[in-house]
Order: sequence, then C-alpha cells, then structure tokens
Amino acid sequence: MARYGMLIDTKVCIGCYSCLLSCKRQNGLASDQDFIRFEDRERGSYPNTLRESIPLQCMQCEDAPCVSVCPSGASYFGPDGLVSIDHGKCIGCRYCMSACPYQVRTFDEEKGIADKCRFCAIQTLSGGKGCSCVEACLTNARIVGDLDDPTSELSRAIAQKNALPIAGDLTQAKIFYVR
Amino acid sequence: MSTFEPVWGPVIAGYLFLAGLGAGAFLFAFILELKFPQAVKMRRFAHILTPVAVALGLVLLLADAPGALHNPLRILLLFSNLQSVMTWGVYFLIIFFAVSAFVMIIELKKDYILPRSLNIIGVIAAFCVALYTGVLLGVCKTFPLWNNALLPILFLVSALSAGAAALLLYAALFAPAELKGITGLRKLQYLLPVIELVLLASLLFITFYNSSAGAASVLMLVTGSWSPWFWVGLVFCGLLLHLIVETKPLFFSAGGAASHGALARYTDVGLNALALCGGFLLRLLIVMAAMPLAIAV
Ligand code: SF4
Ligand code: SF4
Repeated sequence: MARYGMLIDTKVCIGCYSCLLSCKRQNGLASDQDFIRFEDRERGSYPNTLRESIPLQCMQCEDAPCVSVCPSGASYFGPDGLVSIDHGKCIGCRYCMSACPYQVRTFDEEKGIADKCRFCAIQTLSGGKGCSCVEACLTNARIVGDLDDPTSELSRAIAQKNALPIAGDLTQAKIFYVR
Repeated sequence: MSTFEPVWGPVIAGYLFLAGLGAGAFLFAFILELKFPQAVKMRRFAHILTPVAVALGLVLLLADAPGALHNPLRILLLFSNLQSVMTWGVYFLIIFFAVSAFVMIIELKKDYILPRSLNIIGVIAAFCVALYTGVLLGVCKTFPLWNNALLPILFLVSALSAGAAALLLYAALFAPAELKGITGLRKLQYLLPVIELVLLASLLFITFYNSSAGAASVLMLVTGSWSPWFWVGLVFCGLLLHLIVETKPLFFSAGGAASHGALARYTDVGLNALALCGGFLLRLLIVMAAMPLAIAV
C-alpha cells in the first residue's frame, strides 16, 4: 500500500493559477467551484519582504476531521488512505466543510453535495496523462508520489528542501510545503 | 480572510435554537411538576411544545441538507457514523422526540399520570440535546469562536432561558391566573440571563485572545457588521432588558412580583418574546460570526 502525498514549493510558485484552472477542466467543475484556493500574502519586514502565493487544496489528512464528523459516512478513507467522498451517500449537510481547518471543501450547488480535490494527480505515477495540477504547473512547483518509498522523487525532495505540512501536525497532513 | 463566507446560516441556527427550546421547555416542565404542581396549563403547554419544537428542528436540519432532500433514502445514512457528533445528535433528538411525544400523549389524556422514570429519561435526553447543539459546533477546530468548552454550556443555559421564556409567554397570554404562584420560577428564570452574560463575556474574551481568527470573530460581533444585532438585539433586548425590568418587582417589592395588572401582563409578553428572539439571535450570531483559522501563517 502506498501512502500518497505531494510537495508544493511556494518558493517557485508564481501564483499563475494554472493548477487551479487545469483542475477545473480535469474535474469538470462549475465556474464557482474550486478545489484549489490561494492565500496570497506578503511576508517579512522591510526591506526583506517577499510575496508568497500559497496554493491550498485537500491535504489528505491522516487524522481527517472531515471523515470523523461526516454523519453519513460519505467522507471516508479510500484505497491507499486517500480521503474521498462518496457522492452517492453525501446528504449535503456541510458539516465536513465546517470541520476542515483548511477550508478546501466546496459545495456542488447543482447536486447538493460536498466535494473536494480528488487527488487525481497520482495517475501520472502510473504513466497516465491528464490535466492535473502537477502536470499543468509551469514551474514544476508540485511533485506527487509515495511518502513511504524513501527513494521516490517526492520523499527525496521533502528531505532535501525540508518541506513541512502547512499547519504543523494539526491533522497529519500529507501535502508538504516549501516556504 | 475577509471574503470568507459562512458555511452555515439561519436555517442551522434555527435548528440549534429549536432543539434547545424543546430541551429547555421539557426541563422547565419538570421543575413545574416538582415545585409548582398547580401550574397545570403551563406544564401542559411545555409538554406539547417540546416534541413540536424538536420535530421542526429536525425538519430544518434536513431542509438544509440538499443531498438528503433530493435522495430521501440517504436520511437513513445519518445514523451510520458513530464518530460524528451530528450522528449522536440525531440519536439524542430521536430519543428525546420519542420520549417527549409519549409524554405529550399522556398529557393530552384525561387523567395525567406521568411515570417518574419516563420523566427522568426525558430530562437526561433534554440535557444531552441542549449540550449537543454546542458540541456540534465545538468540535470544529476551524473556528476559535466555536472550538472551546464554554459554548455547549452557554447553549445549555440559553436553552433553559428559551424554554422558560416560552412558558411565561404562554402563561401571560393564555393562563394569567397561573402567573401568581410562580415567583420562585421567575427568580430562577432571572438567573439565566445573568449566567448567560457571564458566559458570553468569557467566551468573547477568551476567543479574542485565542488567535487572530478569534479576534476577528469577536470584533465582527462587537464592532463589525453584526454589532447592531449583537448589542441591541442580543445583549440589550435578549438579556439585559430582562434584568432591568425584573430586578425591582422580583427582589425589591414587598409582595414579590405583586402586580398582576394589565401592564405587568404586557410586560411579561414583551420581555419573554424578546428573550425568545434573543435565544435565536445568539445561535445566529455564533454561526455567522465565526472566522476560520489562518492556515498559512
Ligand atoms: S484537508 Fe480538509 S477535506 Fe482534506 S482530508 Fe483534511 S480535513 Fe478532509
Ligand atoms: S456534506 Fe456530505 S460529505 Fe460532508 S459531512 Fe455532510 S454528508 Fe458528509
């Protein structure tokens, strides 16, 4: 069993939103629905300031609040520990949206259900082609892979760049950020 | 941050309020039964109000869950995840509804004999329901305004307040004769907004110093877009007004709530109607003003 994760390097991210747009296309999302959201901000103090673009999406938490609060069991841990939503079970109560500390769940107004990043980027690992965030990124800021395989490109990059989850050990997130 | 849109709105606030109202009414019916057995009409009203409020609350919960509305079979799934506070809540509410509906039937029969054991089960379920409405929000780490242990207690006290207000509103309108012998109950009711004010102030102070998101939530209530509702609606009309008006007649007049004239009756109607609105407003403000933690700091 693999333990999939991702690295996002905000030092090379230029905030172009290509990942966001490719994701919309890949998943056929309505114009008001985004699985990736950006927090743009300035850091540091004059004269050493920098502008940071931080793409946020479902962190694939190992301790996932969305799964524990979901009354219907629609939010669940699927194969390889990936947090998924069973669209056929969701009652649309939006409890998961309140419980997700990263505010990365969205609501599908048409179907009346919750939705989020489906981590489709793992298809690239088996040679599949699509238009996922990883493939679309102009600056190769994103790497997807198996966290349990120390030789994977992902694991090596995390070690080398000292990447960390965005909010410490808040939920045992599996997306690692270089800041 | 400023573009954050609340996940829930007035419908869920209404659900939390009605669940609390039902619980509070049932608990006050219990007190009436023990201490003020002569107030039969009030007790009867409380026992009828409870299952109605709880059922309406559940309807609101489902009305705000479009996935279940489109596919009613999914409602059954609501019972499936025992890790979820919402699932427990649905169990509590169903049990509470069943017990209180049974009590209502007993109440509507000619000779009213309520088994003590049933009453006790109802009382326990009422406490669970009232506390649950706070825990439901409380487990969401996202919002410092919710994610603390004061909120369930505040909601419990507010539930009692709403229950008492509903009963006194009813009595003032339809059973004024029963108002005479219940000064003790009024004194108990008087305590509730005092406790609520203390809890509310503590909640806001602690949340303010919790984090920037906490501070933003508190500011939204006390100086921001919700501040007129907060100060005028909740604090003044919902809580303080009761204390301002009732202090003298309850504690400083010779006969203790002696006046039973038309004016006193209208005052009762107004005060208790406002207290009910305040109860709803409390839930609404807590739901709407919660701002999410900043994740990437
Ligand atoms: S980031 Fe949010 S949606 Fe994704 S697993 Fe964690 S809590 Fe669930
Ligand atoms: S909106 Fe759907 S996925 Fe989210 S908690 Fe409710 S039932 Fe579960």
